[in-house]
Amino acid sequence: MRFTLHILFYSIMLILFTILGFTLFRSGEIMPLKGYNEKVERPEFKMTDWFSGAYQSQMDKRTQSKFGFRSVFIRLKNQLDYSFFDEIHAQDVVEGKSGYLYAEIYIKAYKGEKFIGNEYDTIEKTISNYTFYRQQLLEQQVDFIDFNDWFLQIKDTSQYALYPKNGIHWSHYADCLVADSLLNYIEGYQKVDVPDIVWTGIQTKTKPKFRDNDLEESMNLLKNKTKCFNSGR
Amino acid sequence: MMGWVIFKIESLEVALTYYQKLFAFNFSSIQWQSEKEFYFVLIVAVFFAFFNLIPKFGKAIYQQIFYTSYSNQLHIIMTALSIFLFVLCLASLAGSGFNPFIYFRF
Repeated sequence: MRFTLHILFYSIMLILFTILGFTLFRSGEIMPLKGYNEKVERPEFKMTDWFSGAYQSQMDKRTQSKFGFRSVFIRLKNQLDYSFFDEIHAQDVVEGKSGYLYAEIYIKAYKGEKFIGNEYDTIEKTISNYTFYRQQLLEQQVDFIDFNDWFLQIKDTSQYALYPKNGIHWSHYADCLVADSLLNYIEGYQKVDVPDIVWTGIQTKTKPKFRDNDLEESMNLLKNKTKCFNSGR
Repeated sequence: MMGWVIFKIESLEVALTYYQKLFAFNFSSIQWQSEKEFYFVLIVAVFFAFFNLIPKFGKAIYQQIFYTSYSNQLHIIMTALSIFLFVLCLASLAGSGFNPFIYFRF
């Protein structure tokens, strides 16, 4: 019994001293957090700050931002909240149907809440910037390519995902389609020869590349979400 | 609970406002990011606050945890549980930006 208690006691001490040691002597961060992370400076000691409590408050923030394995613990908290409560700790990121991640600002833009309009305009408030600009460009006979409209048309037949489940932007595949189409359009329209994009093949991997996972990365989870693309598209 | 308000808040005016808010019973301004988390925390809090009142079951748990000699096996289980809860607490503190260790401010 006594031996077991000693083992357990030293196990707990080992955990605590590992955290302390890592706080004091670490050279890098384990599983560093993605996104913006404000550095908290060590406060300069002044008697006035000491008695007003400002020094302690700043030191408190500093200590909390520097303790060992902080990023691992934050990821653990984010993971638990996401797995058990569907909570996402990333600014303005929400999860929609089939696990797709979205930035809230784009949903608001789509719904018309971000319509810039102007004070003399009587157009219905629920119109989105996209609809408005599209209408105006058509009416003013301005040449444009509407990739959104094209993507909506081909989304059911596209072999690969045009929007990744865990990214905020078009997928890298869609980027390439857009670049290719844009160059061809300019070439045809301007009657000039521009460098072509050469497709040497498409690599398919389960692990997302480039920006196809940027929203998920901002969630700072311990473990990646299970699927980043729906099968087929 | 009343005493903690005075212990934590440095200004008497703010403390009085806090007391008023405690008894305002206005829940409209409380925002939880997730309803699931709210109900989970509520159920866990209610259970641990009142489980001792449940006849037989509550007393039995209470006796078992506080007044029974632990076997080696139970020591290991309780230690593992304590470490698990300790890690959860660290994760919660790290993720919330809130430091409950207010003595550091004095």
